[in-house]
Amino acid sequence: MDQPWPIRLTHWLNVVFLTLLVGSGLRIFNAHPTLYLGETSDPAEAVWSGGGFPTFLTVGGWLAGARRWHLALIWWFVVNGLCYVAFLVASGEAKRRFFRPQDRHGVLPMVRYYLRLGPKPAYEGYNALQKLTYTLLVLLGAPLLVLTGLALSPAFDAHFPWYVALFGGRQSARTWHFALMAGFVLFSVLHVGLVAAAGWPTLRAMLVGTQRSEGGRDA
Amino acid sequence: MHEPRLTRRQLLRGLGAMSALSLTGCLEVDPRHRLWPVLTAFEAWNRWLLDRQGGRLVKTFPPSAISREFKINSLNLPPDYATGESSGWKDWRLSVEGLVRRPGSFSLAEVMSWPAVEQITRLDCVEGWSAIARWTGIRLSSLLERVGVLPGARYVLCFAADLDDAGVPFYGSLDLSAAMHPQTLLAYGFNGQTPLPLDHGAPLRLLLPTQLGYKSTKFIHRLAVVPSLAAVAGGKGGYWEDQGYEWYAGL
Repeated sequence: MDQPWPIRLTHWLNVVFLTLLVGSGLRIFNAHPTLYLGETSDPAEAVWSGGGFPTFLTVGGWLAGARRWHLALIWWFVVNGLCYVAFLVASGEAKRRFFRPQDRHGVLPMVRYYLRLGPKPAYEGYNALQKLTYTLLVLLGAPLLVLTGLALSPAFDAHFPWYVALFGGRQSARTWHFALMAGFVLFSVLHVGLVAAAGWPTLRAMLVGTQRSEGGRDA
Repeated sequence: MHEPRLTRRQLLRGLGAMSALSLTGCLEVDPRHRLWPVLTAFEAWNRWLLDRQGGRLVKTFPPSAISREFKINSLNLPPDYATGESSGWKDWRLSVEGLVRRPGSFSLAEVMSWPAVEQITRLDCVEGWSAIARWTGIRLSSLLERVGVLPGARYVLCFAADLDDAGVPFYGSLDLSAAMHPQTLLAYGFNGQTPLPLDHGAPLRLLLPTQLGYKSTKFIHRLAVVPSLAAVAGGKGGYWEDQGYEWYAGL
């Protein structure tokens, strides 16, 4: 399968934006490296308290610098994501890449295969587990990542006081925001690992657009 | 297949080294950085999206939600400041000046004699923590109506008594629409303690719950209604703003 240029462009822009957003987010987190549930940062309700992340993983240098990166790039991330989805839908690629009801029978066999519990299922193009992962990531994970970030805005709170409650309070929203980020990082590591395992042609397709070998892709 | 694999490994290694270098190095930005104007341009965009509260109110909480601990972030107080507390702030004055019809200076007793409001709201620190308290005070809007804002006024500057290690005093500012918001208070009571304890900005502080905590200037002794922020201190409208933090801190 080939990767059309709009998919490649948005994909590599995403590499840049996500790297900078995660790095600046970690620097912002380091200003108060504790996560809570509920509205407030009650020490009794801390769910996770680390020592903060090492500086070399962070972007921005200091809290204000990281905030400048984070609050500028978020819009590029959003616009890029919207362009990506618009292209998938307009080009019909969404049908091949997104999970559809008929894919539901293919998920478990694929999990079993990855866990070395079963044979490799037959599929064309993207397998059902891949489609499920991509769909959840693009249509649920990414929007939630942005929406939990927005819930941290005290001004947004004045517009829609019910909104923060959706996430269980501001500090819960901050914890969800962090957890979703961790999910994105985990996905990216697995994604790159599986691309590497699938071999050079798969990576090449995302670099220059065409794939020269046959067979399904596992990334 | 062997050669491309090597190439890919080298490529990844190179990218890794590049990102490690760049993340710690050139991505560190401050107001002298050439990317700073590009990044700060988005503050105007974020403000345009979010800064239209009108009279819309932030969430208020029941007394049971009041935080047991409220973290304290202040600069240093002058050595004799605490004596004001022991004297009941009888020598303390709040002066209001600038583009107002009736500039004046008010004692704490006068301020406390005006119609009071009480609200239990959350304050969100730029560092990431949040705390809820019961605040008592007057609406900043009621004081502005009392002194009469003149045409051309755009901002309210709040001058504070605390200073950083270099002796630079804290100050902050808000625009008139934020100042007129019904939940923007000049607070003199914290969880029933009146006047405010020293930790929370005694005797009078700003409370601006629609923005991050660094906008809620503590230890206020002077307000100035002005057409521009440019001539004051670093010109960015606040102690933290002069260092690079957003003036609009609604996000």
